[in-house]
Amino acid sequence: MSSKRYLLSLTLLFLLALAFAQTSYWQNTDLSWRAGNPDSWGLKLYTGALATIDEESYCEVTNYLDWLSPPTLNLKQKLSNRFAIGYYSSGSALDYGIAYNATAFGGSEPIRINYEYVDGVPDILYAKELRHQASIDAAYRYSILEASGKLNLILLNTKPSQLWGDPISGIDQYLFDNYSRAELAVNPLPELRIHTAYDYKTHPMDEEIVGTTRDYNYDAIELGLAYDKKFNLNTHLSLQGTWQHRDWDAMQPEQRNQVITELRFGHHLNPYLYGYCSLINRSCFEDPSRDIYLLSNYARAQLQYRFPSDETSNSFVMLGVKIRPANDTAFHPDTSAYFAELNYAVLEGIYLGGRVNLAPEIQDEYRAKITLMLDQDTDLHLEYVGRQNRRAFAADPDLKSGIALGAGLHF
Amino acid sequence: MKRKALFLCALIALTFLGLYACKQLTHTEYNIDRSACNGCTNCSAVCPSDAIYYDGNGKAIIDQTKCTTCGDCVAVCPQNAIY
Repeated sequence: MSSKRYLLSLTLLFLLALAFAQTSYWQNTDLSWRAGNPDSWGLKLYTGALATIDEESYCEVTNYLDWLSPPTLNLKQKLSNRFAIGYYSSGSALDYGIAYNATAFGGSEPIRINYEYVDGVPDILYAKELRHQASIDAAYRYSILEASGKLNLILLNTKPSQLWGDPISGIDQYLFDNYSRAELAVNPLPELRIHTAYDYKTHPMDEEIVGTTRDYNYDAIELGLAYDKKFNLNTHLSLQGTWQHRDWDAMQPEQRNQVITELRFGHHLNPYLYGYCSLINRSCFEDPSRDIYLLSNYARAQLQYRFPSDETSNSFVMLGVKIRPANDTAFHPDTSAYFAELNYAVLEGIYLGGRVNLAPEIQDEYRAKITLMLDQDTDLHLEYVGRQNRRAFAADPDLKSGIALGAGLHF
Repeated sequence: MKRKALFLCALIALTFLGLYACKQLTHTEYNIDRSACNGCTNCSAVCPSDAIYYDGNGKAIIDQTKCTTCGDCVAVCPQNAIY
């Protein structure tokens, strides 16, 4: 059976399952126009169906089309269409999910994938054409023990070329990445979890053509301790500490050992007001008896209030901050951001919304939106987006402002 | 109870120690806060090294072996989930 027939059979099988199960569908469409030189037109279509098969399992089919011509906003392709299909089951002892997705690319820009400069070796660029991905997740629980595994297999079909446009032959147009993870955990208390895991990635390379012995394989062992507790339905606290011992070819020696600490705290101050904060820190070292280095850290706080006057819960105001200081010696920008969002029903079924996202070293973004709710699940909206680039170097000179007309349909 | 409190204090102390007591490396890594990621695919659409993929739950993951730390993905994330 050819691969196309096999995929078609799978799709029909899932569509048949959707036809006989309790199914919900959704469709979101956005047609946009962005000012610039030249102007560009865009279309986003997101379609999906979710079928509940029984109390423990469901399957989902989605298709996301994103087209922008000419491509701006640093997009590396004019068109991408991602089709995904998955089956998920969650039981008392066993959880598992299998999923497949395929993304077709149109008008792709050749990019450097797995790039390394080697003197005298041509610089190879790859234009993405079609990506296949298969994912399998499974977790089995027995008493206080849990064993789980994840597998992501990605096959990318490309069109290779040389930097200066010379035709290239003999190089494999398929890039294959295999990501896998195995984990064992024990829960001595309901809120306490201790785990150990092994991550492994392989990426076969054609050494003779690429001219380097560097590979893109990766492996890591991990030990972690986590505390997760919900207090009286209003408060949630999660703390996690993880140590990773990692190895890949281009890694700096100091990156070999990584310690990740995470803190998350959420609290309902009243039925309409919810706030949360999270703090993640990543430090690394080569030898614990020597220096410990900061790799990255991140703090985030968010507060959201839902207006009780709107029974649909679509009226809200949100304030947030993300603090992510730069590593000064790493020549990267501070990616901190301050953001606020408002959506409010001014009349029955008519909402006015706005969003401000200020990232002083990245970009400032302003959005204004008017939404007409035709019924509880169907809307028409018109949105304006304004952007101002704040980055010192011109990696994204074509950030543009624009308006979008869209519709959402859920049934 | 006392043990739990001690454990919590140790983790909080470790977090703050990491924030303020470490030397800075001449390199950084970008990662994605899974709890904030909505799987919109904006980040992978702009990645110049095809370093971002999605797990079975549709959450984005950055492959550090491919990432060139250009930071282009940070600007397009509507959730501010990349750090």
